[in-house]
Amino acid sequence: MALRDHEPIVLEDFGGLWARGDAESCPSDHFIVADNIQYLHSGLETRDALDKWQTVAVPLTRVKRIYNYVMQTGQSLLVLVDNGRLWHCIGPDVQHLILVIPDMDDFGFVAINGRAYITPFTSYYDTHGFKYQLGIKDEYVYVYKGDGVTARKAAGFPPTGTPLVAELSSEDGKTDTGMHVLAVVYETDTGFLTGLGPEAFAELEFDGVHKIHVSNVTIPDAEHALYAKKRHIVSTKWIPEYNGDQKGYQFFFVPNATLDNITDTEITFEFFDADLLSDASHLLDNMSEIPSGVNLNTYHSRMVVVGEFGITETLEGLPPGILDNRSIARVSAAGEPEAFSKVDGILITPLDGNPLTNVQEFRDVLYLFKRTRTYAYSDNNDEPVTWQEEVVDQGVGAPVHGIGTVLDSGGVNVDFLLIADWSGLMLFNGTYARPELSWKIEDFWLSLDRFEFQRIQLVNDSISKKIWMTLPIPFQPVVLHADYGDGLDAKNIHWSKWIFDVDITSACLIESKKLILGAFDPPTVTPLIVSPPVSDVGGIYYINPLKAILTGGSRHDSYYDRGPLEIPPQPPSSTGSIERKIPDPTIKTGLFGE
Amino acid sequence: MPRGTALSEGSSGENISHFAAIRVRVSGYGNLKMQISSLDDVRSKTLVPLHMQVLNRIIPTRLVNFTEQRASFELKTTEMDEYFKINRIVIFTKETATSYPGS
Repeated sequence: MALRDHEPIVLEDFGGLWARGDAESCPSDHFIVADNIQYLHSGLETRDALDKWQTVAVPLTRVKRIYNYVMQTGQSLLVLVDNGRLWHCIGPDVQHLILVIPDMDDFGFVAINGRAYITPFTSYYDTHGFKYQLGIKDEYVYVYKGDGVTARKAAGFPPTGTPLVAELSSEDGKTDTGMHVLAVVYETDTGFLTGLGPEAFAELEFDGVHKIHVSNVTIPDAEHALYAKKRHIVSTKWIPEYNGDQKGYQFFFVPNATLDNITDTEITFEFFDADLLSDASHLLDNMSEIPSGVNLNTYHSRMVVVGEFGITETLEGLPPGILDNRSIARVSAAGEPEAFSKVDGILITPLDGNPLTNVQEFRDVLYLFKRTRTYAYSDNNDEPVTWQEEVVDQGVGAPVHGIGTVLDSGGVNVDFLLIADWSGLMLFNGTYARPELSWKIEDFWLSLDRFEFQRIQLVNDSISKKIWMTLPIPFQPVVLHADYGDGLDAKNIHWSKWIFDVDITSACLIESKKLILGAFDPPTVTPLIVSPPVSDVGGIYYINPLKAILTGGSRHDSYYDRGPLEIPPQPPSSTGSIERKIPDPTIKTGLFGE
Repeated sequence: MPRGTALSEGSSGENISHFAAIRVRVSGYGNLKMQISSLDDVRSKTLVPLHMQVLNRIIPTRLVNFTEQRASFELKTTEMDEYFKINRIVIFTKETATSYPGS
C-alpha cells in the first residue's frame, strides 16, 4: 500500500553481498555491504557469536592450520601452531604434542583406518618472487595412531644386522629340493611390510625330507622396535642355477613362518614351492621413507601424495637446473597406504613448472590439481605408472587447501566438489560449472592475492547448506560465508563477510556442523571495520549458535585473555576471557531510484 | 543497464525520487542504526534508530525525507550484544522530477 502517495519497494528475498562492478550495478535486492550477517529462509540476522573452544589450563595459541581428524573412536582436531608444533586435541580438554618440525609452515593430512597420515610442507619462492608450496626438502610423511604417542615416519626400514642363517632341521619335513634364498621382513604396527633384510640373506640347498630351521632372525634395534611388531620369513622358489645375486629373484611369503613378536630369533617350518602364493618381491622396490608433499588423499584404497620437493634418494639424477619433484604424484599399493614403489608407484604430470597442489578422488576418477590445471587418471588395475592421463582443464586448478571438506567427514564428496580457483569458487562435477559460484562477488574475489591462495581453506556444511572460507592476507580477519539454501548456483547463493578481531587462519567442522576456527594473531592489517585489536588472542575458537540462548541474549565474541602483551608472548588462559562486540553487523542496500 | 540485471532485478534510474520512509520488519535487541546515502555517498542522512525488541507486534516505519536520483540504505548495530533479525524492508519512494535543470 502506498504511503502518502509514495509507492513501496518491497525487499524480502535478500540476494546477499554484491561485489561486482560499481555500487550502481548492484541489484536492488542485493547488498553493497553485508558484514557479519547470516541468512535465514525468510531473512537475515546478525551472525552467531565466536566462543573459546578449549578448556585446558593452557590452550593452544598462534594456530596456523586445523584439520578434523576422524579416529575410530570419534572426532578430534590436528592443530599446527607456531614453530612447527603439531598437536592432537581430543575434545576441548585434552591435547597431546605429537610432532615438532621447526620448518613446518603447514601440513597436509588424511585419515586412513583411524590413523592420521601427515605431510609437512612449506612455501618457496621462484625467481620472480612468486610463492609456491612443496613438501619440505628431506622431510617425510608421518603416521600417527591417535593414541597420544609421538607421530613417526610412515613406512619403515628393512631389517639390518648380522646375516640370516638357514639350515636343515633335524625334524622330518616335506619340501621341494634345491637352492632357495630366504630373508626377513618386518611388519609394523600400522601393517606396513618393510623391505627384505638383513643385508646378507640366507641360502640353503633343501633336501626335501627335513624341515627348514632359520636362526639369527634379526631383532629390531631400538629405532626399529618403535614400530616393528612382527617378522615374516620370505623365500624364493627353487633356483636351478643360483648366481649369488640375492635380490635378483622373486620372493614369496612363507606360510606359517611368522614370528609374532620381536624377541625370538629362531623358527622352523616346511613348505613346498607350490605353497608360495603371496608375492613379496615388490617389497624390494618400496620406499623406506616417503617424501613429504603438500597433500595426501586416498584413491581405490591407495594413498596418494603430491607436491614433493624430494629427499636425497629421489633427487638423484635430476637434469641440470631441476631441483625438485614438483610434478610427481606418488601412489601406494592398494590396501597398503605406506607401500610406495620407487619404480612404478608414480604419476608424472606435465612438466610445466607448476607444482602439484591437490589431489582428490571423485566418481571413481583420481584428479590431480595444480594452481591452474586439472588432470584426471583412472585406475586400470595395473601399476599407477601405466595409468592414462587426461587433461581436464588447463585454466582451472586448486590451491593446497582449496577443495571444500564436507561436514565432519574430512572428505569432500557430496556429489560435487567446491574448489577455490583463482578465477572464482568453482562447482566441479566432472567439469567446471560456470558461471562461478562467486560470480556475484567477482571483484572481491579477483582482489585476493593469488599467490597467497594457500591460506584459503574451505568447509561445506551440506546439512545447513553453508560454506565458510578463510582468506589470504590482508583479509585474514574475514571469513567469507555463503548460504546456498536457495540453490547451489551463481544466482541463488548468498554471500556475506564475517569479520573478527583476530586473523583467522583455518577452519573445519566437527560434530557434524560445529564450525571451528583457528586464529593466529590480532589482525596484521586492520580492515575497514575491525575493532581496535586486542593483544595476542590466537587460539582455537568456534561459532556458538547457542551462546545467545545460554547467556540470556548475549551475542558477542569471546577471545582468550592473555593479559598484557608480554615478551616473550605468554600462553593464554582458558579461564580469562576478552569479550568483544561482533564488529558492526551491517547491510547496505543497492541503490534505489526510479 | 547494470550488468547485474542479467542475474537479478537490477537497480537503475536517473529520475529524481523522494524517499519518504522505510519500514523494517525487524526483531532483536538494541538500536538498529539507519542511514540513507546518495550516489557515491556524497550526501547522507542519519535516521532515527529503530529500537528493537525480541518480540514485536509492530513493523515500524521511519520517515526519511530524502530527495536524490539514487540512494541506498545502511542498517547496522554498533554496540555490544546488539543483534537484529530482518525479514522485510519496504522503501517508499515517489518520482518527483525527471532531471536537474540543464546548464
